[in-house]
Amino acid sequence: MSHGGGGGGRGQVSSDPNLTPLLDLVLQLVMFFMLVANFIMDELSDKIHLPVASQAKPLTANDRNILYLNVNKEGKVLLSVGDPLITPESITVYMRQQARAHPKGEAFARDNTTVIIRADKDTRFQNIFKTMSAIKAAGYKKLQLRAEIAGQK
Amino acid sequence: MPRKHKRKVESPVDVTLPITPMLDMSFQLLSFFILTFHPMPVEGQLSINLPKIDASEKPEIDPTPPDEKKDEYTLTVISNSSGEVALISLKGPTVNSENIKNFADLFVQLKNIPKPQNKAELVAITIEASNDLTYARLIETMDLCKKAGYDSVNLAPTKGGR
Repeated sequence: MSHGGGGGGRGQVSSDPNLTPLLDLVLQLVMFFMLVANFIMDELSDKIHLPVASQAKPLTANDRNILYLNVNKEGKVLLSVGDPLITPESITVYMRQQARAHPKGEAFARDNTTVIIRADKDTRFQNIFKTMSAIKAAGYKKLQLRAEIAGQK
Repeated sequence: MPRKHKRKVESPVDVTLPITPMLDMSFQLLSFFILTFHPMPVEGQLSINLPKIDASEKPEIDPTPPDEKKDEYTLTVISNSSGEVALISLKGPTVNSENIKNFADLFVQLKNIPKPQNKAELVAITIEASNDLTYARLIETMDLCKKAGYDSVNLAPTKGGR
């Protein structure tokens, strides 16, 4: 460890450790954990417990336009901001709003956005089908169902 | 005669920033974030075709040439009231199995489907699930279809809902 200070007087050695690099490192670590925690909370709700599938494929670099829909056990679509969506009509309206808000236009969003349904493993098929039909009614073309990849934690 | 002011020679002030309390606080923040951090499990997707909204909907123009038309099979999964699988059946051009006991048997049946021109891509499977079936069992069924080599999977509700 380096010795800080000016060296002191004759024969005196200051033994203060230089803490600044250590502080830098710790602050960087704090920043990393804060950012990662925010990313997780933004789109992927941790209230959803996904089922496990061995054939599920992870996202690739080509999958850029993605829209997540988190469906809880009761079949409600959870949003990061606002009340959950319950009826198919409200899901369709929300999906149309999302398409309109896309920077490349509504038509591009409908044709190229992959909608990923993250549903709770205990939710019933009727809720999934209701959500899928609402997505189709909003004009989207690509759909995927999300699961945990078996054997990877 | 100008009077000379004698300045007092002051000892230099040692300006130091107290790093130690800041470091203590940073360590506390770090330990908080480490303890509350739950890494997300690795997630992946299963592709699926969008459903027909109603029976009157016209099918989209199929770009596949007529000699590569898909053989269509219907896999019906009936659940009990708790959402678990109660009955499985598989019907199609070459298979008519009414009472498949479990997922292991289903996998064998799926693997044994004769593929046109030896191509699994020319087989389309429609999973008809009852309303109460849980998402976990639905994903398990889809997973079996994908594992058996069939990528074209559709979803539909059973005719009577159960």
